Amino acid sequence: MILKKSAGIKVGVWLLAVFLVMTLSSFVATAKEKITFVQFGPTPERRAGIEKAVARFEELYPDIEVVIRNEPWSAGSSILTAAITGNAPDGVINIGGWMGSWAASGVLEPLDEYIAKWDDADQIWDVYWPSSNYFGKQWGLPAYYNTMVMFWNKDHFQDIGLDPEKAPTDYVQFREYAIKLTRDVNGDGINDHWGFGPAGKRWDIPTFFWMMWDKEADYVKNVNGKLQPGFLSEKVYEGMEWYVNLYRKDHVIPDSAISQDFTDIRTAFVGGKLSMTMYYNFNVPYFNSIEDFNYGYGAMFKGKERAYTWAGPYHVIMFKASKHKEAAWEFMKFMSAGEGADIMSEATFFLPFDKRLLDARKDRPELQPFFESMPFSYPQPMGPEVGNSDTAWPPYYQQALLGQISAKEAVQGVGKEIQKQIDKIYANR
Amino acid sequence: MIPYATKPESNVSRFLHRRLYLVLLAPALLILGFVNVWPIVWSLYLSLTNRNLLNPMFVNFTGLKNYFEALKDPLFWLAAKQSLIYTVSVVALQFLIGLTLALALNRKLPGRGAFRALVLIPWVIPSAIAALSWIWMLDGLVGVVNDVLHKLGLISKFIPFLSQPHTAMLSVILVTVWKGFPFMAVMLLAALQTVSQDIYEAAEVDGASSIGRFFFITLPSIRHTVYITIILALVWTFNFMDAIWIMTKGGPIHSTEILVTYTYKMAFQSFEFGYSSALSVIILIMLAVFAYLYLRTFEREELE
Repeated sequence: MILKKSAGIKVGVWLLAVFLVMTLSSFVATAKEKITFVQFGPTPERRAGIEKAVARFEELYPDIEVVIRNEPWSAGSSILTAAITGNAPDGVINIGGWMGSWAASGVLEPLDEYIAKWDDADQIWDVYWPSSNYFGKQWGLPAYYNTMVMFWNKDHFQDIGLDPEKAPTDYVQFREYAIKLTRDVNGDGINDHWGFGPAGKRWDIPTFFWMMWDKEADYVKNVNGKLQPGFLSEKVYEGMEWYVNLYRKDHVIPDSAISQDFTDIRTAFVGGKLSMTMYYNFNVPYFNSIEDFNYGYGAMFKGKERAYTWAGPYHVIMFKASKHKEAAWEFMKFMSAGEGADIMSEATFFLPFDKRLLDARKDRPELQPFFESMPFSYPQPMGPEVGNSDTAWPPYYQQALLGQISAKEAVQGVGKEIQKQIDKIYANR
Repeated sequence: MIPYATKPESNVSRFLHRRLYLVLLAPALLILGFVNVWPIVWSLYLSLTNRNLLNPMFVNFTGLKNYFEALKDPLFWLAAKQSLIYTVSVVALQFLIGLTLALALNRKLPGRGAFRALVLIPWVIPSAIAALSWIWMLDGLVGVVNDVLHKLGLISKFIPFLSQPHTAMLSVILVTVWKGFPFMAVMLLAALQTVSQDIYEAAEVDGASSIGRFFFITLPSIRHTVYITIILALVWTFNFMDAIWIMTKGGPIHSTEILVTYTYKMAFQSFEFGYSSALSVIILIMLAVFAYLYLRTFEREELE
C-alpha cells in the first residue's frame, strides 16, 4: 500500500513537471509580439508576394510574428463589423475604396503622429496623400497602386489593317477604331467582335469620360468650405453623351456590357469578343499567362481636354482597436516604402508609391505604359461620399445607355447621390 | 408487514416531477432565444434609431421615422412588388414542375431510381455555384443558351439576358425555379407514395377518368403536404437572395431588386443600419401575417 502510494506520488510529480515545462515553453514561444493583417482578394500573385514579404519582415524584426488573413473582397463588411465590435485584426494591407467609409465609421487609427516621425514619408509620391486624408487626418499608408490603361487585341487590329503596336491616342481615333473593329467575322449575322467593352456594372468607367472632357472636373470639390459634387458642368454632360453614343448610335459596345463587371469583360476580352477595353494594370500577369493571346496595353487616350486615369491606391491601415500598434506600424512602413513594397510590386505587377522604387523601375519596357500615364494620373476618389457608388451610381449610367434618361440626367443623378452622402456624413461633424 | 412510510415530497422535487420537460428544454430554449429572439429585439431597437455607420457617434432615437421613410421610398415599393412577383412566380413554377415530376416518378418506370437521383442534382449544387454557372450560360456574348437558341433558329441575335431589365427578372426566376423544384418533387413524391392504390383501382372500376382521379383523389390526398410545402417554399423564396445577388445584384436598374437585396444594400453598402432594420422588421411582419392567414385558411378547411 505504502509502495503503491509512493509510486503514485512519483508519477504525479513527473506529470506536474511535464505540465510546467510545457506551459513555460509555450509562454516563451509566444513571447514574440503577434500581429494580424488582412489581405483582400488574394490572387496567387498576392499570396506569393505577401508570404515572401512577411518572411523578410520577420528576419528584420525577429520579435514580431505576422499572421496574414487572406479574405475575399466580399468579406469587407464582415471585417468592418468586427472592427466596430472591437474584434478586428491589427490592420489591412490592401484596403481600397472603403478607406473613407471606414475612417468615417471611427474604426481606423489616425496616423498623423506616426507619419510625422517617419523618415521615409517624403519618399512617397505626393499624389497619394489626398486619397487617405479625410476629416483632416491621415488614415493610411500606400501599399501599392494600380492604374487604368487601355488593353487591345493585336490580332483584331492586324486583321483590319491597324498598327497592332499602337493604341488610339485620342478620342476621335478611339471611336474610329471601335467602329472599324466591330464586325461580324463569320457572316452569321451576329457581331463576333465588338470595338469596346466597358464594365457597365461598374461605377467608375463612365466617370473617366467626364474627367477627360472637363479638365477642371473632380468627383468632390470644396467650394467656400462646403463639399459638393465637382463635375456638374456642360463639358461633363458632353463627355457622358459621347460615351452613351458609343452604345446607342455607334453600336460598338455589346448589350451585355451594360450589366457586366470587370471579370466578365476580362473573359470576353480573352475570349476574343472584345477588341478594346479599359482595365487595371494588375491584370497583365493574368493576360500573359493565356497561351496565344496576342494583346497590347498602353496609356489611356486623350479626351476632349485631357487624358485621365487614376493612381488608384491600395492602403495599409491600422485599426484603432489594435493592441500592438507599434509593431503594426513597423509592418505598415515596411509594406509601404521599403523592401516589402518592392517584393509585392515584383510579385503582383502593381507599382509602388515609393519614389526610389519607382525610379529603379522606370526603364523597364513592360512598365512604360504606367510611367507614361503618371502625368495624368489623379487620386482615385475614396472618400465616404463615394462609399455607396457601387450600388447607387450604375443604375443612372444603365438608364442612360438604355435611353431611359439623358446623359445629363445621369450625371446629375450621380451628383445627387454624392450630395446625399455628403449631407449625411458631415451633418454632425 | 408494515408498509414503509415514504418521505413527503419537497416543493422542488414536486416541481421537477411535474415540469421535468421544462427543465430539460430550458438549455435549448435559452440558446434559441439568444440566437433568434435577441437579434429580432435588437433589430426592433435599431429600427427606431438613425444608426448609421458613417456617423456612428451620433445615434438618436427617431421613433417610427424609418418606417414612414420606407412608405415614402419608391425603391421600397418597387422591391416589394418585385418580391411578390418573384416569390409567387418561382413557387408556382416549382410546384407545377415538381408535381409533374413527382407524378411521373411515382409510376413504375424502368430506371426510376436513377431518375429520382438525377432530379436532385440542382438542389444539391450550392446556390453560389449554380448562380455563377448560370451567369455564364446566359451570357450575352459567349453564353451556351444563346448559342443553342441561335443554332435552332429561334433568335437572330444574342440576347443579353441579365443586362436588360425585361429579361433579367425572368432569368433569375428561371434559375431559382431550376434550383428549387427538386425539393417540391421530393416532398410531393413522398406524399404520393402514401396514397393507397386501392382507391385508384376502385375509382377506375367506377369509370373515373385519369383527370378525374387526379383532381378528386390525388390532390385531396396530398393536400396537407402541398400546403406545408408551399408555405415553406414561399417563405424561403421571399428571403432567398443568393441567385439575385450573385447574378444581378438587383440590377440592371433595380429591375431584379427584391426586399432582401434592398435591405442588404442599405445595411452593408449604405451603412444605414437604422433604416435597414426597419426594412427587415417590415419583412418579418409581412411574412408573419401571411403565414398566419395561410395557416388559418388551412385549419378552417380542415375543420370543414
